Amino acid sequence: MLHKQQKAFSNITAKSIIVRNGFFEKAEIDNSKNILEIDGNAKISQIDLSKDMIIIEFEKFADGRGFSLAKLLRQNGFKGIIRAKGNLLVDQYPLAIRCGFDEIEISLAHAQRQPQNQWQEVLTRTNNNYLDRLMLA
Amino acid sequence: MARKFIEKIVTANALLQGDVIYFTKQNVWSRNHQDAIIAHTIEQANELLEKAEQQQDIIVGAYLADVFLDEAKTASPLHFREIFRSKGPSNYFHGKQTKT
Amino acid sequence: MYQYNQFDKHFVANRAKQFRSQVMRRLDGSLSEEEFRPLRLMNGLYLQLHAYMLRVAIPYGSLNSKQMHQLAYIAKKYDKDYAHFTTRQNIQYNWPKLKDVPDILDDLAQVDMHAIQTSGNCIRNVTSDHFAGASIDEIADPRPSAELLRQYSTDHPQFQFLPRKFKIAISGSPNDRAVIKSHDIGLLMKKDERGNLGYEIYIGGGLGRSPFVGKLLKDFLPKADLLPYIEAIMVVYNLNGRRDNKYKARIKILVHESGIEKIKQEVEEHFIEQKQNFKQPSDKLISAINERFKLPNFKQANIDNYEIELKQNAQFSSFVKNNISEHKNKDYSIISVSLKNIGETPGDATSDQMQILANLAKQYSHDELRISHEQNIILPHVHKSDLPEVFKELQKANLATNNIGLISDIIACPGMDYCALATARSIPVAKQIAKHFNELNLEEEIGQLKLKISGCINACGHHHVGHIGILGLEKQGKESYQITLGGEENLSMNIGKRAGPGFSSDELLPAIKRLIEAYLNLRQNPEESFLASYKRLGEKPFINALYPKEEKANVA
Ligand code: HEM
Ligand code: SF4
Repeated sequence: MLHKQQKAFSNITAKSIIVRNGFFEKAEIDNSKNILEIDGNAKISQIDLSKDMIIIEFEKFADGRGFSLAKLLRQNGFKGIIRAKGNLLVDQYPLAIRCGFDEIEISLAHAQRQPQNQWQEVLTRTNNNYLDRLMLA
Repeated sequence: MARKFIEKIVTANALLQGDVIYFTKQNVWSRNHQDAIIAHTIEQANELLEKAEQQQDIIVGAYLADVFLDEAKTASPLHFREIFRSKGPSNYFHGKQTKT
Repeated sequence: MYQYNQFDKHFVANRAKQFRSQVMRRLDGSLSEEEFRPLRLMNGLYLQLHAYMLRVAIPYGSLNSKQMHQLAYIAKKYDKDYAHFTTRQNIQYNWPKLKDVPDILDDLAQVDMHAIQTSGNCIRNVTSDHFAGASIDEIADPRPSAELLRQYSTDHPQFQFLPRKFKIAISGSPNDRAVIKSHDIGLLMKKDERGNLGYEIYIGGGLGRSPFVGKLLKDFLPKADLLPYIEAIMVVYNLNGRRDNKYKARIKILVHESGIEKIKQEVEEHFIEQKQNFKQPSDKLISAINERFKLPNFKQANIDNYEIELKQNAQFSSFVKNNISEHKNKDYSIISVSLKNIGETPGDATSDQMQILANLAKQYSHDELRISHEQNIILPHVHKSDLPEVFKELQKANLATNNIGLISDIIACPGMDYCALATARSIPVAKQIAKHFNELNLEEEIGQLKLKISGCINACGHHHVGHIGILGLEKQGKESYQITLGGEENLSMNIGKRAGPGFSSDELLPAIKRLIEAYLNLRQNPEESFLASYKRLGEKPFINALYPKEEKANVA
C-alpha cells in the first residue's frame, strides 16, 4: 500500500495536486478552457454560468461557504466543472462531491500528509446518506 | 518599571487518555504538578512551550500556566482553574486527588 | 418511539467506523490537532479540564429502556459510573479516553444511538418538548418533525462547516417547554384557520454572551414545506453569517445586524428557489416516520388504589402535586423524576439510577423515557393505578425528590468542576442553595421559581432565562457571581436583567436568602409567584434586598 502511494507521488512535481475520482493528478491549467475563479464572497446571481469551469477557493477548510456555492451553481443549472481550491480535509471530500464539486486542488504538502489512499477510502461515504434517501425514497 | 515576571510551567492534556499533564526537565510529561519544569523568564517560557508543542503526537493543547513558588521553591498553581486541573472536580472525589 | 431501520443502523455504525479511522489518522500524524478537532467535535468529543468529554445525543429527548440501559452500561464500563444530563437533551460522559471512544460509539450504535453533530459548527441535536406525545395540551407531537429534521441535517453536505453551531428546537404545544425562542430556529406547531398543521417560525434567538429573544420569521409555514424552508434559512446563514469573529458568528448576530425584514426577504427568495429544486420526501417515508411515534396501547384499569393512596399518603400526594403532569389520557400521568436530589449534582445520574429508571420505564411507562431541558428524566406514560408502586420504587432508589419547578430544581452547567471554558464553578453553588432552602423546609412555601446557573458567559445553564439567574465569573483571581432577575423562558421569553455587582462565593447564598425573604414579604398572596411579584413590583425592591447597604447610602 505504502509503496503504491510513494509511486503516485514520484510522478508529481507540481506544487499542487488535483484530487479527481479519488486519484491524485498533476495540477495543470488547460488554457483552452474558459475558467472563472471565485471565493466564498461571490454572489451567486452574478456568476456567469456559461464558463467551462468554476474554481471556488476555500480560504480555510472550515469556511463552509464553498459548499453552498457549489450546490447553488448546480441548482442553477451550471454544467461545467467545479473545482475546490484549498486544503480541504479528506473527510470533507465526500461532502464536496455531494455538493456538486468534481475535483479538489490541494497543496503538495497537504497531499503528503493526507495521501491518496485516504481520499479513495472516503469516496464510499458519498453513498448511503440521509439526504439522498429523504429526497429519493 | 517592568512588571515582575510570574513563573510559568507548560501544561497540556495527554492525547490518548485526556489526563492533565505537565512538561518536565527531561522533555517528557508528568501527571504531577511538582515535576513541572519552571520557566523564570519569558524567554524560557516561550522556549519551553515551543519544545513541548513539538510533541503533538502525544499531547493536546499545550499552554503556559502561572505558578507561585514557596520557600522550598516548589511550584503551585496560581489560578484556581489550574488548582482544579491539578486536583480534579470538587463535586466528586475523582481525578488526580484520588492518587495523592 | 422511533425505531431505527436498516438504513439508520448502517449509517450510525459507519460513522463509528469513520471516527475510528479519524483517530488513527490523528495518531499517525495524517491529521493535525487543528484538523482533527472539528472532526472529533462533530462526533461529540470535547476536551475539558481533566479529561475528554463525550456528548451523546438523545434526539428530541426520547429514549427507550434498552437505550437507557446501554447509557448506564457505558458509564460503568468506560467512565466513573455516572453521567450528566444536559439542558440540550444530551448526556455527557466526563472521563472517556480517546482510545475508548470508537468502542463507545460502537456500543451506542448497537442501540441506535450516537454522538453525531452534538458539537461543532453544524446543525445540532434537535431538541423538543419533553412531554411530547404525552401532554394534554399538545396540538401535535413535535417528534416526527424533529426526526425529519434529524435525518435532513445529519451529515448534510452543505452545513457541516457553518459559521457557528446551529440549534433548532420544536414545540408541539402552545405551552412551550422547549424554550424555542432561545434557539437559532424555534418552531411552534400550530393549525391554520382550516385546521391544517404547520409551524410558526422564530429565528435568531440565543443565549451566550449576547442573548437575544428569537424573532418571528414566519407566521405559518405549511407542514409540507418544512425542509425547503429550513434549507433556505441555512443557505442564507451559511453564505452570510459572519466568519471574521467567533463571537459574532451565530445567526442571531446576522439577524440583529441585517434586520429581520432583510433576512425574511432573503429567506423567502431562497425558499422559492428551494421549493422548485427540493425533492420532498415521499409520503411513504413521512408516514413511516409518523408510524414510529404512534401512541402506545394505553391500558384500562381501575384507579381507586391511586385515589386512596393520595388521601392516605402525604408524601405520595406531595410528590403527585409537584412531579406529575396531566396526560392526554385521563387515567395516565406524566412523571417527572427529579435529578436534583438535595445536595447532589444537578442533572447527574448514576449507572444504577439509570438502570432503575430503565426498568421502571419498561414495566410502567410503555418502555418510554424522556430527558427534559431542565435536566430531569420523564416517565411519560404511567397509568395512575401504577403510580403508588412507581413512587415506592423511586423512593427506594433515592429518585423521589419532589421538587419539580421549585427553587431546588436548579439548572446548572458543569462549570469549572469540568468545563474548560468556565470562569467559576456552578455545581457547588447549586448544591448550597438547594440545601439551604430544603433544610428550612421553604421550597413549597416559595413555590414556582426557576433558578439557573452558568459557569461562564456562554450561558449553557440558561441563567439569562432564569427567574433568578446566576452567572459565575472571575474577579481578581476569585470566583464571583452575578445575579440576574426576571428572566423567563416560555413564549414570553425575556432576558433577565443584571441586578448589580457580583457576589463572592461567601456572599452569594446570603444574597439569595435576602432576595427570597424580600419576595416572601412582598408577595400579595402565597399564589403570587416570584416572577409575578417581580413583574408587578419591578426590580427596585428586589435590588434593594440584594444590596441593602447601597440603599442606605442612597438615603443618606
Ligand atoms: C462542557 C463543555 C461545554 C462547552 C465547551 C460548551 C460551550 C458552549 C459555548 C461556547 C456556548 C456559547 C455559544 C455562543 O454563544 O455562540 C454554549 C452555549 C450553550 N450551551 Fe454549552 N458548552 C458545554 C457544555 C454544555 C452543557 C453541559 C450544556 C447543557 C447543560 C450546554 C448547553 C448550552 C446551551 C443551552 C447554550 C446556550 C444556547 C446557545 O446560545 O447556544 N452546554 N456552550
Ligand atoms: S456556561 Fe460556560 S462553564 Fe458552563 S458549561 Fe457552558 S461553557 Fe462551560
